[in-house]
Amino acid sequence: MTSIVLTIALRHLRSGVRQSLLTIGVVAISVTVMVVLGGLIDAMQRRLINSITGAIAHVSVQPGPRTPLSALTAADSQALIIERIVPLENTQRKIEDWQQLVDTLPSRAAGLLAVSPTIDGQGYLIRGERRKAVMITGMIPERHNHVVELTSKLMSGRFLGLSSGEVVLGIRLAADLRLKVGDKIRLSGTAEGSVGFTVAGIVDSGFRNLDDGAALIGLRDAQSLFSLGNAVTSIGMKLSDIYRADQVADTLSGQVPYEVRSWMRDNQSLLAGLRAQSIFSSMIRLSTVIAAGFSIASILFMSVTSKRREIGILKAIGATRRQIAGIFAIEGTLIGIVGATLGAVVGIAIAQWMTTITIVSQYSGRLEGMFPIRLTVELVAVPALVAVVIGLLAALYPARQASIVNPIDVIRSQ
Amino acid sequence: MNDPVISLRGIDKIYTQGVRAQVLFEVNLDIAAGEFVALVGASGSGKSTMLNMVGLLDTPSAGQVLIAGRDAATLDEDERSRLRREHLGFIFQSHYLLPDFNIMENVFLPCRLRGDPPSGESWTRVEGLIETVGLSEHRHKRPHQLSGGQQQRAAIVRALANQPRLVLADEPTGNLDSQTRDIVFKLMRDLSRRQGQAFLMVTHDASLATEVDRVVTIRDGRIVDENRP
Repeated sequence: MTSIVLTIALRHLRSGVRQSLLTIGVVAISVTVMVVLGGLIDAMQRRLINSITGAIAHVSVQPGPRTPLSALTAADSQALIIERIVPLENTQRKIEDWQQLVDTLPSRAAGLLAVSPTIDGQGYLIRGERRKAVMITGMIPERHNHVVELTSKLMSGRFLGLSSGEVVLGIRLAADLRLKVGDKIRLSGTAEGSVGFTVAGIVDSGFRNLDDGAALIGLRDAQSLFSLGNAVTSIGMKLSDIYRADQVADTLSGQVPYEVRSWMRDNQSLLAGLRAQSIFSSMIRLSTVIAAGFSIASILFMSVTSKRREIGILKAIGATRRQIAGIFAIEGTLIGIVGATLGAVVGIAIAQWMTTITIVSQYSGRLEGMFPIRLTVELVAVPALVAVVIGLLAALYPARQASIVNPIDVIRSQ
Repeated sequence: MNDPVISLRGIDKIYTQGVRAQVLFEVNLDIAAGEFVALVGASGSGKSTMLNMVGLLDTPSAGQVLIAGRDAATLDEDERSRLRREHLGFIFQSHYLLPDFNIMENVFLPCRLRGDPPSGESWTRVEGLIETVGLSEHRHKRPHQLSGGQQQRAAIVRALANQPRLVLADEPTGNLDSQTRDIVFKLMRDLSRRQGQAFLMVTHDASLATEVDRVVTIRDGRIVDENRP
């Protein structure tokens, strides 16, 4: 049985069908804007964060920074005499007990997906007469691939099972030097000569730093190249939740005698910018739904005014204040529900369409999605629910106005 | 007199908004079940105010309005609404049918507000009333598709739909031509007799006042005469 309150509300909406449709349209547009904007901002932020975190460890254990002694403390504030110059060796920035750490780190903090010992150092790639500065990364491919996933991005050759004397290069570095799998190169890590390598793979990671100048070699080769003995320079970790990086870093820093860095602290200003962007986006989205709420309130006020006589008669023949208020509350809610549903459907359709728009990337030369929209249930459901709630809230005041209409005033005005 | 369906006891009504004005003075009135009462008086004499008191649409400044054993003057608005729904029917000078509903839906509204489904005993009874007033063939039409007399007949059925004990009619024939007026009045009179409902009808029409059980005359806010024609 349909309640009389719902029946009257539906008749009101039907009798003012043009106004009802216009208001539903306003609500639908606001929900569409919220869905599309929300999906766009969310995906852009994810893409940006992925561009940072995709090629690096989320948390890394590193030797602490060098802190030079103050020259003045060396000789009782007297003249500083330099007796000899000793080059800073890599041995001062290394982790000797890395094997033990690799084994124990997963049990020291929750949410660690992978741990990879690495050696990072600057060096040169030599191809014939050409020398090019590169970032040399020594790692165990099977472990490293769990921290920075590269196997799916191989353009040619292989990454896993890298043997001694083999190197994997970034695609643009390889292109620049016209290298292909099987070609011979030399890598120089220190001033003391260079070592020969064979190109085993070429990777197109989509990350500029990696593609432009990375040379990935086995851990032992890197230890030898940088004269590190059996040490490494850092231990990278991948987390199940990238936003727990600070927490994990804080947990580990009290347990290991090294500096523990998180990607979040290293990119604080970027994250602050993203937060500001999120707040601004939320304000825009909220503004649109509030505007829709005003539209609903406005249409209901007009309805209450134009139906004062009807309200008065309904009250005279026995309608309670609650029933009268219910009529207009239901009208507002129905407008919200229909508008929100329509807006969500249109929003999803527009988002789907926008994902089909592609442009040629200036960086990679490949076709890429122009709008990286990514919709989730939450990104669609929350704006829709907000619109319904706003519809109800917008209806409350007109509904109260309707409920206090005095039937005598209406009857007298005849 | 049988037990009254409504009793006014010492009703005063004073309006205090703007200029203070007392429009009813110590009004006492009992209406018995099935009684057809005409309330007559000059414009501004307090007829409509008294009707509003009886109809629980307004509250007295002093005195009691006793209906179904309760003093309506002490009830809140929603409780008065429920009493109206259960015990009172209204007919206004204009029909005030809802334009978005057809005739059957309009006349059944008081039952729907009470929670009755649009089927079953109430529905059948109201269909019978529609037939009695000759509107069966118009039951699915909207109010604007009916003549003034037909609209007012529908309003009468709406007033009787809930089987109220008392129907309040505020100049129900005031907007009708003389021929239609007679038909509508006769209809109310017949229904009153047949259904056993009491009527309190405000009217300026002296000719109608001769065909009722009792005529109550009000002047300057006081009942000055009661006679049975």
